Amino acid sequence: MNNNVDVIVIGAGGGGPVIAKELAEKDIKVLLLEAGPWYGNKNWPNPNENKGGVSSTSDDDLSIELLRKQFTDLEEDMNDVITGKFRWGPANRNESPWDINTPQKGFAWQNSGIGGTTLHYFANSPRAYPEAVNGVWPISYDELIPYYEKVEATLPVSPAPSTPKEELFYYGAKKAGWNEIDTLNVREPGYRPQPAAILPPDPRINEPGFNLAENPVGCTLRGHCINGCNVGLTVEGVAKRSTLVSYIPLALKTGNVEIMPNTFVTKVLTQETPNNGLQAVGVRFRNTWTGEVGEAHSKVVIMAAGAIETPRLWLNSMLPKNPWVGKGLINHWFDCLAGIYEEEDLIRVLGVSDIKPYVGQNAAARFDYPGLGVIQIFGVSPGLYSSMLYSTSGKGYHFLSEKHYQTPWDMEGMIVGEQLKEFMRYYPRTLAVLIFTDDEVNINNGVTLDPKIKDENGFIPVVRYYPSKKDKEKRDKLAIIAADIFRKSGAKLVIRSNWPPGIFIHAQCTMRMGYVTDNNCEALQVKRLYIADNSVQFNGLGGPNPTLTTQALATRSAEKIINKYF
Amino acid sequence: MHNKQNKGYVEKEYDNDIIIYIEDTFKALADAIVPWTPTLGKIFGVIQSYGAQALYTDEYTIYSLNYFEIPLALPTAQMLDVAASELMNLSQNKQYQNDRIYPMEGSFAFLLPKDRFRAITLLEDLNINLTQLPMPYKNNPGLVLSMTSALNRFVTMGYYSEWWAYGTTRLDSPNKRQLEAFPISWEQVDYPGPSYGYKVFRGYLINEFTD
Repeated sequence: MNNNVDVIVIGAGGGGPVIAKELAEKDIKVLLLEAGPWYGNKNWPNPNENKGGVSSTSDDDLSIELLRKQFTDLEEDMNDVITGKFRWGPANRNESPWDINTPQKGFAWQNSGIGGTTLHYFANSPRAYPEAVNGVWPISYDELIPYYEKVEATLPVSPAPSTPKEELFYYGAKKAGWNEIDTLNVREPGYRPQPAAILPPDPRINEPGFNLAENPVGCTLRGHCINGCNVGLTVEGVAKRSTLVSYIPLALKTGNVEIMPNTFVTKVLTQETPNNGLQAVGVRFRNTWTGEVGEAHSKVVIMAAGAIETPRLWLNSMLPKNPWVGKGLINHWFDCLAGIYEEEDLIRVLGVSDIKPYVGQNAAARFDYPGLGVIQIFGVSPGLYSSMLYSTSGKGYHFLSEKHYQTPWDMEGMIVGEQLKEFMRYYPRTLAVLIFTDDEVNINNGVTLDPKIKDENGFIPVVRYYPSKKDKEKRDKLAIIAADIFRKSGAKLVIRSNWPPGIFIHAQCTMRMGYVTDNNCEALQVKRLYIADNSVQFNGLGGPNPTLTTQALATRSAEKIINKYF
Repeated sequence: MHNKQNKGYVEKEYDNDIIIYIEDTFKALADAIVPWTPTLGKIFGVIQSYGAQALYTDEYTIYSLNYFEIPLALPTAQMLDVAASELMNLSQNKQYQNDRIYPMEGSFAFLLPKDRFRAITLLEDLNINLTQLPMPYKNNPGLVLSMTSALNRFVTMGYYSEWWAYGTTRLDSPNKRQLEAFPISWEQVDYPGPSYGYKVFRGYLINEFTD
């Protein structure tokens, strides 16, 4: 390992690989450190069984054959939050996951590994709503646009294709009186295809002679986005554009990046300088297989460990006190609704008798409402589907709750017993949506350190989030709109899960620009220390999925770093 | 195919009666969430009868809970029992399911399925004396809430995913498991399993985004 480089990046999730690639293309030497395993790399042929190599510096190391073997498309194998390959934990699956204390109903759904949470994200890549940024952020929306464009071209991003479930949603949204919109810069409510970082399907996909197994170019509509897509002739050609297959190969191609998986950074090292005050000079890290501790030094350090681990690392490193470190957590307070349809209604609308939630991209159609948030359809395999839809609620068990008349949904809360099995029998005729609320920044929400409980990486994070009254109103409005779309498209039964606030999927804003960093994402109190993950966002973007904005900001920060320090 | 295995997934050092107690408690939980349903079976075919016990979902739940840094299956079973006792103290339960004597005074497994959910609801609402709970739940409302809200997800994830089909290898290390069958639960919900893709492309709502 080269332990004297220009820049160290902590974390290879949604943001880290982007800034690493941008810097390395300008001949800057980058060391990228990631806590979890590396899938699809010849240096780690069995990434969950033994420690394998130390680092990788060449895209020759990438192997689609290994990726196909390792990404099994099996949801428990891939996505189990405790033992799955995509969990928050060490590569060795015989060990426990890493602990995050979420002292309320819910859990934090995040991944370790090269690619981070983009390994199982749906590749939804919408921009922020302009009104959530303009006059609100310390920088303007116009300033973000060129960076959005660069990321959209690099991933690349394009409108998602339709299968029956998307058509059903569009049909319902149109009948409910909403407009179709076709813009990336959403200023009015309406429905549209997902801006998807997924390579479009081969136009010949429906031809009878077209062999899906032999032509793995572009999306084959197989519904395994969440289980780690492996469709492609090469790693960098894989259809779903997690950073594992997009920015990581591009970074390696520069010849200026060394990437070390299985390396948990436990401390940011600093030095007091006479002219510039405190500045970052490197990191201390720990190998997750051997426990060996090492240090590396650099001119600039970039934290990209995510909205929970970045503030945790700041606090565990005893960096200067700042009331906003870890605070202001945005969570998009999710909710989930489903509509169950009769065969004849689906035939009437679609010409087919079911929509098969496991077919097509996992989340290919959306409804945007600046001022309220997002409604996004999703369809995944049955274990995840049942646990998200019917087993997660802040409202308890449906059968125990008092009947509220005149709700726009027929049922609310967890579904159990014979009823659960009955509903799951309708799985092929069930359409589901997720809601992301445009929730407010509140300094009382966020990440602190557990005062007592420590793991091998330091005191564990405690994450707390309580929405405001206004957040609740917005979420309820979106749920009403979603229920109406279901009804208008012919759903016979509408179920609202009503998720508790403590499910952390879109964690953002815990190291806010303007409060913890300057407008270029450099820490106000520690020079040469930058942030390049969801935590640096100023707010929740109005509701849209955060990854693209993080990637745009990381692209912008790379420019700022080069101008200032190289 | 599914031979009973060693009890290592419970905890090697436990006495047999503790193992039975833990297993019975999580059987009761899993069975309440995904029961044996002969009525569905009669109408829609026998495959629809099978429930969580037939698919060893209780084992999956125990295995998952014991994967944490502190093994959590035993304290979680005891927590469910405290809730069940509280429910009976409040006389909110309808009746006992059976009169089996449990070595650990387990009462959760005695309850009718509907009452088991009433007991869990006491925990979810923190309507329980938290000093009575075993460590690490004792006086730890945050952990009580996060764990009870996860129990349903554990059971449905275990039941509707491929886990049961790992067969005799299901309790092995996750890297050593092999699929030995096609999951019954997938048959129940008409999920064909992983596929190379589907010829169901229906075009684009729009071909290009404008700026």
